Amino acid sequence: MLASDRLGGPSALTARAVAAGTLLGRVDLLAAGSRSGEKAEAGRRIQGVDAVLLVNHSDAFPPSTENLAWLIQGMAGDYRWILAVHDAFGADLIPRVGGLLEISPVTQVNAILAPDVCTRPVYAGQAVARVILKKFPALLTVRPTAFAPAATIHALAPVLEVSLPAAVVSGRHQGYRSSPNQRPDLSEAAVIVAGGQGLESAHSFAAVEALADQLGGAVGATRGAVDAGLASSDLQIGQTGQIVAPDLYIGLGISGAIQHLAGIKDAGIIVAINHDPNAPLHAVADYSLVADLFDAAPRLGEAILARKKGR
Amino acid sequence: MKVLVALKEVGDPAVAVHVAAGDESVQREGVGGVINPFDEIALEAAIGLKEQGLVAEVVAVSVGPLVWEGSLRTALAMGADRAILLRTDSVLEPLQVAKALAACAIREAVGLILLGRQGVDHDWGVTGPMTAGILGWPQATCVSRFGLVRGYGEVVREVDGGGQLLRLPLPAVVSCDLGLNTPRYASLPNIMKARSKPLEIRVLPQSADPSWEILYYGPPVQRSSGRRVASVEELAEQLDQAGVLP
Ligand SMILES: Cc1cc2nc3c(=O)[nH]c(=O)nc-3n(C[C@H](O)[C@H](O)[C@H](O)COP(=O)(O)OP(=O)(O)OC[C@H]3O[C@@H](n4cnc5c(N)ncnc54)[C@H](O)[C@@H]3O)c2cc1C
Repeated sequence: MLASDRLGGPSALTARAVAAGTLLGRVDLLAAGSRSGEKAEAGRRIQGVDAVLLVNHSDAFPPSTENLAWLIQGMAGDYRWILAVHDAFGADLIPRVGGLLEISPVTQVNAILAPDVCTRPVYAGQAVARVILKKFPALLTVRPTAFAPAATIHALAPVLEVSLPAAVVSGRHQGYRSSPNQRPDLSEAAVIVAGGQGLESAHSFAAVEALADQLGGAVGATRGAVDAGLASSDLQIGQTGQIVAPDLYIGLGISGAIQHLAGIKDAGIIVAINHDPNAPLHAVADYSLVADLFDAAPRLGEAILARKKGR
Repeated sequence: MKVLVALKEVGDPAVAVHVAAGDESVQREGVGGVINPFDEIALEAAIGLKEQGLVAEVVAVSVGPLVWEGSLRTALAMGADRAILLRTDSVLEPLQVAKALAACAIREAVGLILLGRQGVDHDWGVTGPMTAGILGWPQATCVSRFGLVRGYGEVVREVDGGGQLLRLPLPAVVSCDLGLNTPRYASLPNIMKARSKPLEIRVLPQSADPSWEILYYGPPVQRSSGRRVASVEELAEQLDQAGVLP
C-alpha cells in the first residue's frame, strides 16, 4: 500500500486506503515521496498497518514518479496486491508500475468483494463493472470515498528502511503551487456547498462561499461554473473532477448532469436549490427546494445560524 | 521534433447509458462516436506547438476498430499532419493499447507523446503513464499547463490542493487535463484538405493473457428519491433533525 500524498506531505486519505487493503491481507505501507518521514510517522499509527517501509530520498534517489515506479516494480514479487489511493499521486504512479510489470491496473475500485473480485464505476457512474483479477500482483487504485478510514491506534507499527535502486530518468520537481483556498479540502470536508452556472448572472461565487463559510464547509463547483470562470478547476466535482462524500452536499444553481452526479453519489445528504423544478438534481436530492438561489441561500445560512444559537 | 497524439473514440457522453443487472457489455449501439474530449485537448496542444514552430510534425494515432477512421479524419481536419490506425477488432485492455502506442512512438521516433488523462467511457486513466513506463520515458499526468522551453517540457500538473510544477527531459509522455486549452473546430476548407492527408491503416496482432476480465456490468446503487421542501425554514429544520449541521 502506497501512502497517499497531498502537496508533497502526508494525507488523511491513507487511512481509507488501508481500510481497503485490510480486506485483502496484511498491509505494508510504503512511505515514499517528499516528506516520507512524516508519512511514515502518521502511517505507523493506522490500524491494520503491519509495517511501514520508509523510502529515505536523497540527491541520489530524488522523489519522482519514475524513481518510485522503478523501486516498486523491484519489490513487486513480494506482494499479491499493490494498492494506492486514486489521487494525483497514486493514479500517476500505479499505472506506470503497470507499464513496467506489464499488468493493467484496476483503477477507481469502489468495492472489494473477494480477494480477486472488485467493482468500479464506468460511464460516469451510470454502470458498475465487476472485475475479476487474473494477473498478480494485482495493481489497484481505490476511491477514498468508498472506504471509511481505518482507526488511529496507540500501538506503533515498526518502520523499516527500504534499500534503494539506482535512480532513473525523471521529471524534475520544481515545486507546488497550493491553491489560495483556505477552506477544507473537498476530499475530506463534512459539508460541501457547490455552485453551478446558476451563479453566472451574479458574475461571482459569493453566495456559494458565504453559505460554505457559515457551515464551515468546502466550496465545490460544476464544470459549467469552472468553464464560466466562476471557480477554479481544482474545485470541480464530478466524473472528470473530484469524487466527494461529505455528510451534507448543498447544490446551488446546479442542473445535475450525469457527469456531475458521478461525483456526489456517495454523499450522505444531498440538497438541491434550483428554480427549475425539472432540474435532474432535484430527482436525486434528499431535500429539494425549488427557489431562486440568491434569495434562498442567504436565508438558509441565517436559519441555520439561528438554530445553532437556539441549541 | 515529431509529436504523437494518441486518441480514442468514445460514445457521445451526452447520451445516457442504461444497463440491466448482469449485462456482459454495455450496449452503446447507435450512439455516435466522438473523439474522447481529453484527447481532443491533447491534439489541440500538439497543433498549437506546431503553429508556434516548436514541433515539425503531428502524428495522430488510434488503436481501435476500422470505424475510428472517421475520428482520425477529424483529427487531420483539426490540423494533424498524418494519421495511423492500429486496427484491431477486439476490445483491448489498457496494457495492449500502451504497448501498441509505445512501439509506434519508437518506430516514428517521436520526441513527445500527448494524450488525454482518461477516456470518458471507462475512466481507467492509465494509458499515458503505462506507455511512459513501457518506454522508460519521464511522464506528467493531468497537465493543465504545458510549454516547450529549451528542449524541456515545462508542465503544471493538477494535484489535490493545487498544482505541481515539473520539468520533463524529452522524450516524455504528457496526459492532458481540461484546463490546458479549448480545442478548435475543424473548418470546412480544412475538412476538405484532410481528405488528401495520409491515413495509414496497420493491423495490430492479436494478444491474449489478460490482467483481468470484466465479469459483468450492473446498474449503480440508486439513491432513494427524496422529498420536496416548501421553504427555507423547513429545509433548515430537516437538516437540523438529520444531524448534519455543524
Ligand atoms: C466528458 C464530460 C465530462 C464532464 N465532467 C464533468 C464533471 O466532472 N463535473 C461537472 O460538473 N460537469 C461535467 N461535465 C459537464 C456536464 O455535462 C454539465 O454540462 C455541467 O455539469 C453543467 O453545469 P451546471 O449544472 O453548473 O450548469 P447548467 O446545466 O447550465 O445548470 C445551471 C442550473 O442553474 C439553475 N439556475 C439558474 N439560475 C438560478 C437561480 N437564480 N436560482 C436557482 N437556480 C438557478 C438552472 O435552472 C439550471 O438548472 C462533463 C461533460 C462531459 C461531456
